[in-house]
Amino acid sequence: MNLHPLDRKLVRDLWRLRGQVLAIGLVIASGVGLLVMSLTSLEALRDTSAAYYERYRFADVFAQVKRAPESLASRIAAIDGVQTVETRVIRSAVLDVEGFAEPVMESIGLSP
Amino acid sequence: MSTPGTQRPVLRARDLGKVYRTGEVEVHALRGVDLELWPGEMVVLLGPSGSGKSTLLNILGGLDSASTGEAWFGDHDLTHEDDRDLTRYRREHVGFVFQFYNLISSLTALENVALVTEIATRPMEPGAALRLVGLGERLHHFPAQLSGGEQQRVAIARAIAKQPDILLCDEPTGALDSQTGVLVLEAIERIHRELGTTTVLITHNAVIADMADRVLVLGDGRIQQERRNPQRRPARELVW
Ligand SMILES: Nc1ncnc2c1ncn2[C@@H]1O[C@H](COP(=O)(O)OP(=O)(O)O)[C@@H](O)[C@H]1O
Ligand SMILES: [Mg+2]
Repeated sequence: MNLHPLDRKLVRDLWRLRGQVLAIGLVIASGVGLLVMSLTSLEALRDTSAAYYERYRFADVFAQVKRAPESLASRIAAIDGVQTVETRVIRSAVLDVEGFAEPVMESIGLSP
Repeated sequence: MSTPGTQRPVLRARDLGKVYRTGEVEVHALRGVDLELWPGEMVVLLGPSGSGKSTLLNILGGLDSASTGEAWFGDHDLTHEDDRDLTRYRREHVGFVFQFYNLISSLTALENVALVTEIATRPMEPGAALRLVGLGERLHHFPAQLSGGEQQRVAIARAIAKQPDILLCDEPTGALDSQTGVLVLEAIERIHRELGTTTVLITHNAVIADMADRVLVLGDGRIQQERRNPQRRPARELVW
């Protein structure tokens, strides 16, 4: 073995401190492990939510327009990224619902 | 011993001054030191604590720079060299021994010396350096397995293994009892005799001055007295 004296010093010092070196190594390894795990979970959650949105055709954004004539529908549909256009009037109203003593407010959509 | 006049000095200092500034406080460690060191000379630098001995040695050895004055090693102007040149000067020409041995604890005696011979331009064989200081049997011992005096001798072997032009020792026996101190001084004496290295030895112990060719007494940052010993006393005979 013809190591440079400084390399020999390094090897011996590491060996003498092997307990600490091992402990520090484990701490770093578990830290890195935790980071990888978190990143993987985050990625999986993102994939899942994207898959859910896609499968149930769930919009990223819902938008309503006020006092828009029916003729606007085709122009709205032409806007980039618009998937579906529904033309109906939505208003709140008080309903009688069986089994409820209090009045119930509900949005009702009326198709033209 | 060489006589002045026939040779050029190894080291020369002119009007060296050193001021340490710590905030508002100025300490004048050296106040105009003139000095010549001749080839093969053994000089003892004597003086009380705080008289500027270490400061002077550090400047001569290129560890520190002077505030005023000049120091020359041959044609090298040490006072105007940059760090790089000073490093090379120390590496190629100067061996240091300090009061505390500064050995690397995880390296054996031989490896401590080899650390220097690896980067020296004309090194001795590390084992030969250790044999010179009487440690031929302790090559593979770690510092913790050696006595203080033995550790200091390893430090001396390390200092001279590069075959420096100058050996500078700052209180090499300062931490040792007198018996062990004598062994260390004998090692220095033998190196001086066998390698002819110009040697400067700092001490505040007046007895040690007897082993020098020349004694410089430093006080208050100046050389107060210079004397030449008619005969050098062998280190073996020194007692304190
Ligand atoms: N790095 C420093 N900073 C400030 N003052 C210092 C420093 N080094 C030495 N001194 C002062 O310079 C003076 C001379 O110190 P030194 O050369 O170490 O003396 P000696 O080696 O003879 O005991 C002392 O008064 C000391 O306090
Ligand atoms: Mg000192």
